[in-house]
Amino acid sequence: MDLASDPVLERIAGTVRDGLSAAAAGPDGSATLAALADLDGFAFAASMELGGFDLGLSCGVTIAVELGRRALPDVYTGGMLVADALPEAGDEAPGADVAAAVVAGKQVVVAAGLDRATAGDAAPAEPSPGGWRLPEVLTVDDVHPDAAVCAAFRAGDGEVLLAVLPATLWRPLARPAFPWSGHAPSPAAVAPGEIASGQVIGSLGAGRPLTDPAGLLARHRVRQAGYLLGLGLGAHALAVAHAAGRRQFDRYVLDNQAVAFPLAKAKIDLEAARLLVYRAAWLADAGEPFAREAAEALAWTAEVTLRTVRTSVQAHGARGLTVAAPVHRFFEVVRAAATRLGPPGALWRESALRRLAEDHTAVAERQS
Amino acid sequence: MNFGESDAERGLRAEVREVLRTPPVRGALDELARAMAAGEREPDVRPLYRAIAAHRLFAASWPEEYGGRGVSHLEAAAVIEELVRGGMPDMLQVLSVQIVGLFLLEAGSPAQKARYLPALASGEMFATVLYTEPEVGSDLASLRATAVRDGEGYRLSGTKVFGLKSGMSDIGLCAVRTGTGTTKYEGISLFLVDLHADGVTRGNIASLADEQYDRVELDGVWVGADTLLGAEGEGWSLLTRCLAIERTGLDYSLKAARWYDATLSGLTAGTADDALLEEAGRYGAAVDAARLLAWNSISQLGRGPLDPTSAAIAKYHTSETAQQVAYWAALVHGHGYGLRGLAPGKAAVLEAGYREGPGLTLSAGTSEMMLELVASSFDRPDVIGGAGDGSRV
Repeated sequence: MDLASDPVLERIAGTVRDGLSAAAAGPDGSATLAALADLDGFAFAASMELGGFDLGLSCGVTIAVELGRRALPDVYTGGMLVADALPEAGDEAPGADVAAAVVAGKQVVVAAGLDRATAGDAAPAEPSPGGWRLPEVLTVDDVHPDAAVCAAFRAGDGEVLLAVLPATLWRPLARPAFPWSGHAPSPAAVAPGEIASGQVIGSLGAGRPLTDPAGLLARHRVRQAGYLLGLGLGAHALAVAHAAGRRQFDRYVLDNQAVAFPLAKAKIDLEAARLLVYRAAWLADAGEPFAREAAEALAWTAEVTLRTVRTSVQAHGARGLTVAAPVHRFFEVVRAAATRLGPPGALWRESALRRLAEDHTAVAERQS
Repeated sequence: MNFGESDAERGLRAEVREVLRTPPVRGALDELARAMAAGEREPDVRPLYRAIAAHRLFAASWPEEYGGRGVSHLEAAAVIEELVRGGMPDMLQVLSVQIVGLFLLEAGSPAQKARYLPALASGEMFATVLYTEPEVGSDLASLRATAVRDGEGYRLSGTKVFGLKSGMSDIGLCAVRTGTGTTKYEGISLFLVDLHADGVTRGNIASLADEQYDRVELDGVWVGADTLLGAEGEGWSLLTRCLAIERTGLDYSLKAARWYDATLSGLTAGTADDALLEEAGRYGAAVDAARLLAWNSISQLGRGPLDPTSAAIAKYHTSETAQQVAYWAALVHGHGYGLRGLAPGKAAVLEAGYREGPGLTLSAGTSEMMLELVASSFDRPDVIGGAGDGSRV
């Protein structure tokens, strides 16, 4: 195990960071989409069959980190979920046109329903003549006016399916989450409705934890963890810069241990997050099992980033609560990002069950 | 980044497992287990170490001329992981090889390397550190022990405390004051002291952990000039350069994993409620992260000096995690570790871990000092050459 920094990924990170530097912050992801598309960023981690460069999940994570680092709208991970589900789809396959448009940088996809469907408490969809009837409202992040939705829903037999739904199906909720700021995507609702069997693009399997036969959920979790890691790194950098330049009581704020130590602890936790996230991605790219590692990377990063953003806002003092301080965007964005794929508690329980199963398997192997 | 094992690492792990099955090593391990079961707090590990050292696995990263195999730091870490997983207590190995030995490799003269390293690699000689003193604590530069010139050598006087394994060690890497300067960081020198010499008195300080703290009195102990490490009076820069070596976190990460595995061995999906499962998942990830942070440090060792910030991050997380796991285990398994039918051997591991835990966040630099080091690395406009807060991937 040699964990020296990867120069190729560093170059990709630098390129993406430079490309995204012009993208305007705010809830509308149009500028972010355009900046990432200009770099061919959506093609980096997609399969060659879809016109991508097949650089792997580690590369996809790196792009997600850079989006999070500036709290830009997540125009990336939902599309990659579709691209993962349809890596070798022919032109006639359901959703193939969406996957191709995603890789070409012409279509944003937002994921929905994964929190409920993966926790196992989602109401099952009712079978209908053409497919299923979605029984409940799903929420998505309103990051782009023409975003399609990749919705996870539980079929009657317990299998969790993914379906691509058109942009016309969702609508903004009446009340945005942060009406005074407008810097974070507001939630939108996908209304209950019909899902045609032709819209289904993949399966996350059944059971608890989900069997996830193609690793779609695990890969999506790792990218989401990357986005969260970026949010944590970005908020932390802002806090350090502020505390290092702001003087109070005739000294820099960062010279106070009460300020510096929580930021140091956050840096340690983020460094652990970086390794957990890239380990999960590396295992995926190496073809090794990575379901537990993916769940843990996401749960760890969600909790650490929430704490880091809180610490970073605190380090800014009252001005951190104003829209004039960029750190406020991280506070707005992190809440939805931390639980979009389920609360960390559920992920930890899943991880423990997997660990106990591994442990007992190892014991049985030793005894045999 | 490569999170997989190289062929060389895999081969060495297989070889270590074979060595652990050989009669001399197996016999020494069994004797250790017997002594621990009988309640001996610090059984003599030296016979086990010598049996392992016979295979040149004790200091595998050292050059062959010094008794090693010349393998990389990463491969040597794989050897240590496998030995500890196989039951080898690591404290005396950490002191002799990973701290004093690596210090000598970094800063020793050719004659000192030739004199000490082969003996340390073979288990013929063991080493410890004699740094802190009563009232000095973590502020090492406040030390008061002295060395004064005497003929072709020096005479050392003072009291060293809170070291470990002095009773089983033959030499001590000792920090003393040879002079004064404009700051307290000047005038400190480092010597390799023969712990069998006249004037050395070794004793224990009754303490919580199985490994008892030591008290070593130096009463005019004569040492030759050839035992001085580096230049006289320049010990502080050597210490700051080499202290990071103690902080890869590998040893702490292995304790964290051992205690976590022992805790989990008493649980099943059927007997753990949701709250306990949540904790088991969270601590499991923390233990995994500890291993990754340790290996991240070790990955740097082969490429140059270990970055003090990376080392501080690894040391903080690994030691804090191990300590927290030990405390968590006590809550999970209850009074006498008997709540969930834990095997006696596992209960003994956790009992020892609970008492060892508090020392982990003090030794090799307290957690508070690690936070100070990490905070001092933040990119600051008011500090010339601020370390920056990069974005490694």
